[in-house]
Amino acid sequence: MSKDRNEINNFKKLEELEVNRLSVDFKPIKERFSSNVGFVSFISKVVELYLPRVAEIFITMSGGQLKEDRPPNLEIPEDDKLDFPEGPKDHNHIN
Amino acid sequence: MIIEGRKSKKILDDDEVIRLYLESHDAQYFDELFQRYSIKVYAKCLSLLKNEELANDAVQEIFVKIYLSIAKFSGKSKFSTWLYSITYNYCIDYLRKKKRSDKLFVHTEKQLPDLEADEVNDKELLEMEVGRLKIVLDQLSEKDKSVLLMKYQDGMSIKDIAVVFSKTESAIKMMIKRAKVKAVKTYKELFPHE
Repeated sequence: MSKDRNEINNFKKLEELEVNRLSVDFKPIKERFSSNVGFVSFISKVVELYLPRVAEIFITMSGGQLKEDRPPNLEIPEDDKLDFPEGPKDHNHIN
Repeated sequence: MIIEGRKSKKILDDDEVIRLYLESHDAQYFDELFQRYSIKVYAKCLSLLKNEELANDAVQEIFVKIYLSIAKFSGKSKFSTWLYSITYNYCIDYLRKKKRSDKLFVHTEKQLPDLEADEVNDKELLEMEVGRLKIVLDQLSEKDKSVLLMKYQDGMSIKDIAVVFSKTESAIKMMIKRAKVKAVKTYKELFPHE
């Protein structure tokens, strides 16, 4: 049977001793961590927001044309574009 | 972090805290991991870097790394093992960059041409009195010290240690063997009448 890795040996006792002996104020470390994380989150949001736009700029600069994005439910079928249904007739023209 | 139910209190284990964090992205769960491990990470960094300011910076940067890659944590190993791997990696990288450990890393291998005949039983190492063990570990190179801490303090597998050092598993086994020999030899030199 393999040795239980969690058993307390002298190395683990040493770790406990050292940890108990330390008196560190982690508040400043935590604050620096939070500000770094906040900055990283901000940068990643900026990249997420603007990276697709950068690709569009390159396409436009190279003479390409951007396809207009229209949600599928608002797409007008090609066949229907010139074939609007007739509306109600103007009452003035009725005899 | 304790979740109180009607009848019992349940202390969330690390995996549960991580799962809740990944589901909710609520900072309190990450704070909990910070609370649980910052002191241990600090102690390891201080023991290897031997400088309080460096250890402070290391803790902060290691937790930023954890924050950025926690979504990739697969849960195959314990969270603590993963965290300590990153901690050792950071410290070893730092020492390498300082070109201090580069010398140590190459030098030690040359210093010990043939230790294969000397087998050291784990018992010899694990029966050292705690105060003396600390003295002995402080006499060893960062490489020898960290490999022994990874194996005997953090219970890391040979495979995990190999990833940290970017070496093969058999190279790591040899490193551990040599570090053990050196630790016992140092002990006998420092405490000859034991």
